[in-house]
Amino acid sequence: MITGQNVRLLTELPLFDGIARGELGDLLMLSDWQEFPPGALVFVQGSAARGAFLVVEGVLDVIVGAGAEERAVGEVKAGEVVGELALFTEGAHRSASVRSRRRSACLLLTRTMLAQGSNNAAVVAIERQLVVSLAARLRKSNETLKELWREGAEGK
Amino acid sequence: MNQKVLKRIVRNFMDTHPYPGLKGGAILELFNRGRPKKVGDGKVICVEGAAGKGMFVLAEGEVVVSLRDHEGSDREIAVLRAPAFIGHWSLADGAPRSAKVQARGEVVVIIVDEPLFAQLLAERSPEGTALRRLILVDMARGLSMSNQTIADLIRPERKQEVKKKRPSWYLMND
Repeated sequence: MITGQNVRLLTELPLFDGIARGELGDLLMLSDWQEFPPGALVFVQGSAARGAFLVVEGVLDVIVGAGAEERAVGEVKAGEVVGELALFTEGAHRSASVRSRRRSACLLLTRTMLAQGSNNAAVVAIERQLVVSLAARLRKSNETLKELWREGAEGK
Repeated sequence: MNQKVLKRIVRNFMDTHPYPGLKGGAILELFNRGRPKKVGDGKVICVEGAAGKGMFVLAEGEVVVSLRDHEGSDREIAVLRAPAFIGHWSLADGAPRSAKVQARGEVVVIIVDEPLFAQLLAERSPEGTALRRLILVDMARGLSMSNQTIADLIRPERKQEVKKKRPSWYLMND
């Protein structure tokens, strides 16, 4: 949804520093603008993953389990992307649920959208940020794995 | 590097790192911007704990990934075969190399040094797009595998079974 207000929200994200408003308008045209009221589920753990969400405004909570077993494992703030594995792996399923903590607005990013936007500076900025954030998540994940292997070796 | 050989390497990457719209020509251009190098058997490509000065496209051959244990000995944790990427995490997040990578037999790598990596990461060119998407596919796959292993390890009924396995090939390959 291209509105002056939505373009302005994108210009406020550090991710898009230095990117022309026209490029951000093109990004809005390529992607799907979605708004979530407080408490709304963005996606559900175990469901088929069809895209990633760039948070433009608001905060999302990442949760695992359901009901009494539900546990918050992280949060996603404006300028961050959640669910990105769906963009780069086939047949992925959501490893956690994501819920809007307060009124939030997101851009739904899909493979098709990325392919169509290869020459768009905002798409390049998103992909560049994903490279950095995935590298950091891999290190964190490997640290967890190393710890679990170590516990295994010690017979815990 | 001979273009015929390079085209074969490109095809290998397209088979193992599929992404809609990713063109062989763009990957070829990307590899042509790097610097090919033959690395002899036993030569160290990445030193654990060192700063990352470049990433390597493993075009031919295989490498051994190892970690230094608490007694200071190298422990082999994985063997990585071409086609693969090595050392890209350090360039992406600026953290030190997390493992040692050593050639097993003669290998061919294409070196993408730090300034070229930074340039390509921000570039709208087909080569820049190819680099970003190839390594994103690579890292997303690694993270999925890693997450699955963690999920298995914390499920009591799978714990014993998983403990017997080696760490996945992706673990600490940077």
